[in-house]
Amino acid sequence: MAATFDIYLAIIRIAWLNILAYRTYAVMQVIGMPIVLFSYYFLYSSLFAYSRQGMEGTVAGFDMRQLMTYATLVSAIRMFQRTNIDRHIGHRVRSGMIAIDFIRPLNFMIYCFFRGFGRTLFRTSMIVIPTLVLGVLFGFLHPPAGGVTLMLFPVSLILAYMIGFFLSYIVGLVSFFVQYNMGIAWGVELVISIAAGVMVPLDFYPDAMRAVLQALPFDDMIYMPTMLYLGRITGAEALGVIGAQAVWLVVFWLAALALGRGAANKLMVQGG
Amino acid sequence: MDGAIRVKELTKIFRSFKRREGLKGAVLDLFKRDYTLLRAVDSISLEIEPGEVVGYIGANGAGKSTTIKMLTGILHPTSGTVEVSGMVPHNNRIAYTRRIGVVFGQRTQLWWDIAVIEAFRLLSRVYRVERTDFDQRLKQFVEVLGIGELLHRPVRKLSLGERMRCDLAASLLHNPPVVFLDEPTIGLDVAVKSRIRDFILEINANHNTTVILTTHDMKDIERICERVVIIDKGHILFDGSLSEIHQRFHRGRLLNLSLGDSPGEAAIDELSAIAGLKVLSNNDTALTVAFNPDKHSASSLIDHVLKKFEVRDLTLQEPELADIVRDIYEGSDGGDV
Repeated sequence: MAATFDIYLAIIRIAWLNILAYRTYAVMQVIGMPIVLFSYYFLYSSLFAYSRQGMEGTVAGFDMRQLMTYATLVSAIRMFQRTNIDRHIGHRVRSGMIAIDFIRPLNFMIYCFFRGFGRTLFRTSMIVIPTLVLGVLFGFLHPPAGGVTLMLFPVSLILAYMIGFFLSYIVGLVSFFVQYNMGIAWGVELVISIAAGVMVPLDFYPDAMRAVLQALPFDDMIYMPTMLYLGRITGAEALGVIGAQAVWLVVFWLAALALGRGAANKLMVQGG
Repeated sequence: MDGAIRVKELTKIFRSFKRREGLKGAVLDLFKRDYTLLRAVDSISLEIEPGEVVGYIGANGAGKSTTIKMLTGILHPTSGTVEVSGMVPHNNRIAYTRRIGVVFGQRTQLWWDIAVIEAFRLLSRVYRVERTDFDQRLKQFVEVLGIGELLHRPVRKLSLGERMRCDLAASLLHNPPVVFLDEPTIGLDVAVKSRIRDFILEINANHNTTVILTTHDMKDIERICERVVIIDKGHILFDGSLSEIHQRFHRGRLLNLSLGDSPGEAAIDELSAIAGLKVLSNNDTALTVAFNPDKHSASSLIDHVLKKFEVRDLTLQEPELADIVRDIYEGSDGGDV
């Protein structure tokens, strides 16, 4: 097991080195982040300004302070969670390099996880942390609500990360069947931005839509951990969130295993 | 047995989707798709013993790479069985890939951004190679392949020939009993090709490694393969030794003539009419004649042409494997001369 871990550390390292080419991308993301955060700020300010209670009131149960914390946090969590494994696998299949991944005595899923994790370390240090710092500097990000719930936040975040990985991995495996998975990857990205609460909190949607979205797994990827941080979900309900995340994680993991087995049968290698 | 390969009635059928032309076709494709079935490998059977060096050749699209990909466990066969060193490749991929080495000439298994030596170290961990074995093999590979100076360079800065030598070393660090080399000499210069051939021979001699090699360079085959398997349209066309190829696909010896004058059509027809003789090409003043050495001696034929034509220069040529193989790929056996 020690030797195996060694290998995965090396995979993380290679992912890291590969990403150095994306340094410019990271810098652009960080430069773009104030624009994103201020867009939220102006949007929400006008929302409050025109609401009946004015700036000191609440909209869908959020005050301005909570809403800006929410906006900063969901942007950061989405950045943290994106492993881009879907694109990675899609690219490997499309270029035929997938053949190289399959001649190595490594479990493909675990390999992909550590590759994605290498990317996460990179994103965390280059994009996520700067985003959080900017959030604090601009006065958008406020400290979490205290209490037991806060201790559940890191647990929820890890579960959310794992669900995000498996979703990305599954979208990646789709490329074994369709050869080109970018369309599906973009589609999933769009669904996440709406159904996981990246654009606006799910509380803004009509009740019926919200009920549907909360029955889906996407809210467990970003919205729910953020609600724990804000202390808007507490006590037994908070434990329920962790439970739901754990259930979705198992479902996604089993789906990934099943799809992986089917994909190996379907594999075609492009070119020579 | 370690290093033995048993393939029985191996078949791979690809289902590919037929695109219709134009915008209208593209829209139709969204709703109803037509598929065509391609039997890339069609009921192939092979037995390869430990330590054999087998050239697996065929025209582009003949099914070579598909076979290799099934033998390496990447592709699952549609039907038939494969067993290498007693293991079924696609059933237990992870355990199996520890016991084979693979080079895909068109793709590198090294990592673009890290130094060659680091990639080797990482692979030695992936394949659980003992430190002392690693050091000893590395020393040997560096010597035979001449890659000492490349070790500290990142892979993206290597030329094709440099990269290929490193890839070859990488595939053998764990000393596998079987190696699959899919076009390891593609696009390389003569010196690098020769180095790679020497290396393969040395590995085979030292470790009794079974080598399966695909290539389009018949010199590779002549230098290192005792046995040749020719595949065409998914079927095995020939399986035997090099000398058997020459016997079975005999196209005779060649006489190349350079003439002072363009020969008349009548003279060519007259020459063609002789039994056991065939005019292969007739290009103004250059003439190539193939003849069956059992029927004509070279001296009597030369005697004959010297009388008929104004010959400036002539050369006698043994048939080359490349020509024989080209004829086989093109579906003729060189004619009966």
